Amino acid sequence: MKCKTLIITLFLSFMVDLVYSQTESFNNVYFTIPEFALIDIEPNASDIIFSFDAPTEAGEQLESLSDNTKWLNYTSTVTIGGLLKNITAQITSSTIIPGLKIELLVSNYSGSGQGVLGTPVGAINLSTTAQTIITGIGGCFTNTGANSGHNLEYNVSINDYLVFEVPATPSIDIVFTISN
Amino acid sequence: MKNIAFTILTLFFFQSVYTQSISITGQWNYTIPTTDITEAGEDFTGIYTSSVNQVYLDVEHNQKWAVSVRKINIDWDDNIHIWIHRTGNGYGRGNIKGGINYIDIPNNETGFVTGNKEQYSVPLQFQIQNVSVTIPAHNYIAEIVYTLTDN
Repeated sequence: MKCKTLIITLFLSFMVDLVYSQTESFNNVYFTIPEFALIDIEPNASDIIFSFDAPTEAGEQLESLSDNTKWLNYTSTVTIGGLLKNITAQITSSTIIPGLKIELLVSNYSGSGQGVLGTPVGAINLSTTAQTIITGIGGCFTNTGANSGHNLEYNVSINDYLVFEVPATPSIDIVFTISN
Repeated sequence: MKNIAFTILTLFFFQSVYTQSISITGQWNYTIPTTDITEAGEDFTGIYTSSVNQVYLDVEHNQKWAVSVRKINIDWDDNIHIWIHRTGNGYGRGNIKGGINYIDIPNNETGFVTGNKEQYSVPLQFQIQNVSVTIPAHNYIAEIVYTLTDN
């Protein structure tokens, strides 16, 4: 009888030991990286002023003008298996200058950024329709400031003297948009 | 009657001698705010820290003990590192040592803190490092596992 009691007691003690011994516990960490994109013109978004010089000899055409002082910086995140992003350029101002061609040439990426940076499509003639200028942007950052990102080279020329006319306020707004 | 008394006494003895348990209360849920990047072209700041008492650790033991820690990547990117440290002692009739400095939680068990007897509500803080926009946007989940052993 005493032996039986001892065995039962030891068994129960073992069970108590199991019940009261918890040797592992845990907590979860939930961490979210959101999808977003930012774009900026550097070193600033100030106006670019083009001023044609008068020809020195009758019969000559106005020489084309260029500016490559602006740079495009961007930061982008992309979801796993998500669509890559593109950048478009578009004239949004109501004023247009008939006969004037504004060509935009976007350079290859330059700088110390990282990630899946975009690829420029080459030269486009700006219009009031949004046109893709950079494709294939993944999770990346260009770094900030001039000389980082993509150089924007504008080439302005008169391509149709028949309709060329300078309006009273000859300014044009160009908007860059990053999206997927 | 004598047998019952003997059994209860023995159970109480075993329970008091062999009790050991560990418990974690809380979790951490963090989303990087888009305001983290103030200028296009920048990367994330890359380091994010929880509150000083993000989770609490309770340990019950009758002798010296040790707690190790490891990470299980439930849905995680290996480039993202979770660090942990202890920001206080909690309370209890025992004591706790180590874990003051941040340690990078590996996927294999690594020593975290040691102690003696019971210690409750030990506050723990996390830090996430190495975050970049080059890591895919996603809702990541990791499990932090704490293991109690005799020491």
